Amino acid sequence: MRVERAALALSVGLCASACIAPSVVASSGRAVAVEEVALEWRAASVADVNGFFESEHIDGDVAASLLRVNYYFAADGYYSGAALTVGAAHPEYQTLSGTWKLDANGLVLDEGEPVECAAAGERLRLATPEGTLVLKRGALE
Amino acid sequence: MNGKLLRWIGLAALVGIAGLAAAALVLVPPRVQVVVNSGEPERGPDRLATVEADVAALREDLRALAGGLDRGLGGLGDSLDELATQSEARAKDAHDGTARVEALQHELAALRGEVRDALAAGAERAATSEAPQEVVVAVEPAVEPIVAPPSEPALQTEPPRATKTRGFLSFKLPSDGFAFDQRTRFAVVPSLSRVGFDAKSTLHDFSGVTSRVDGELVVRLARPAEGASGRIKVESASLDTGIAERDANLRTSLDAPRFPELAFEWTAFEPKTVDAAAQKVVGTARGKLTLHGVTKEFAMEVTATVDASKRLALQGQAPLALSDFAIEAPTKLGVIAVDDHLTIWIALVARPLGLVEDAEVSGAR
Repeated sequence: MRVERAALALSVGLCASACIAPSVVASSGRAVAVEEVALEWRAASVADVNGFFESEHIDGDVAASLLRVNYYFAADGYYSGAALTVGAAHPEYQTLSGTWKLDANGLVLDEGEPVECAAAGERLRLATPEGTLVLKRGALE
Repeated sequence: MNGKLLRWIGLAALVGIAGLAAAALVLVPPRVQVVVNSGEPERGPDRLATVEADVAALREDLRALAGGLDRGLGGLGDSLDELATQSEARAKDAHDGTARVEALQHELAALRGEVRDALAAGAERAATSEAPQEVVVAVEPAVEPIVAPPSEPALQTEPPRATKTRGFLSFKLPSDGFAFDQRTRFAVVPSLSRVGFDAKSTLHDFSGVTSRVDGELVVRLARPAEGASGRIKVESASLDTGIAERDANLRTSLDAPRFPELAFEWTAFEPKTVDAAAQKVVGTARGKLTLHGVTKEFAMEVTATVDASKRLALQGQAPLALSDFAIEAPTKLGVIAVDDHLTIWIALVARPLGLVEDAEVSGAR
């Protein structure tokens, strides 16, 4: 009786083993995979910039102190932005507003230096020597 | 009759008194007399002579006073001359001192430039080297890693970091959110982090994984042996093996309702290599692991790198015996059993929250 039960359990185990594939995570696959989206960037137009955007990706030196960014670019040349920064005792929001325009060299905020501005679908990429900010178009709702 | 008599007597008395008064005014003449007494003036000393004598005395006093003033002014002049001489000497000394300070400042600026150029050249050489293995510096725990040396206190002329900012797209950002050679506080980003284990069983090997991980780390990557600390927490019930029934067995083994949290208290780091150019650190993280309500000393080999977004990627693994933490390995039907020994691993991403002062760390200990 005991031998029969053991044989049954063994056969069940063997069947299950055959049905269930090993599910060990490879050591190279332990990190969270970030989805790489292949984008074809082109020079942004006024229509690309106009609207509300949320930061999707921040690279470069500024990434150490910049957590989140939101921009609203109005069609009449007004813009407003908010950035969540770190570096002080606690994360802090910083807000600003002013004027924007696009010229041959890129996006100009408040008559400052032009910033390289590219667009791909619903995304906007602003690049400076200090870092790159990829924004995704959002909805004001 | 008597009344009439009395009135007449009174009237007569009044008339009498009035008459006596009128007689007195007529009989008494005025007797006021003014006497003017004139005569020879009194004899005394000559007033003119007295005044002349006084003037002469005053002249003598004035001469004496003028002489005293001359002597006093002369002494004052001498003193002023002496003071002027001393002031000139002091001004000369001060000028010499200022010139010396300026010369030292020039020397200091030149030295700073040389140090900066040397560091930049070193970093460039390291970055462009064709043999990166040679750049990696093996570091014993007691040996200082090769990194950019911190500025001497006397050379720190920059304002406090709270006031340092830089511009980015019109925002003013703190300029020192992260630096490899600065003690930095990092916060685990759960959405980019995973913690898990690899187990062997009589059926097949499997992993349990979760992203319900949280925590903070404080480390100076260039010198990780100095005061590295932190705490990582994992929600024990969230470990997912891909099979619901097995997850339930795992939760039972871990007694998740009673011990909902797995925690690692990081207290020390023993570096093996510190590569400042590649921003990479390899070594052993030591601390206390609390599992199933049991706390044990624990060590894990880890590799820390800094990515393009200035985030810290921390990967590592270590063997673990379930029996050390009073955990019974899950079984099924008496024949499907999980091995007591498994491997736990971490793949964390933590973003910098800012620099930490050394005093803040020592004060928190």
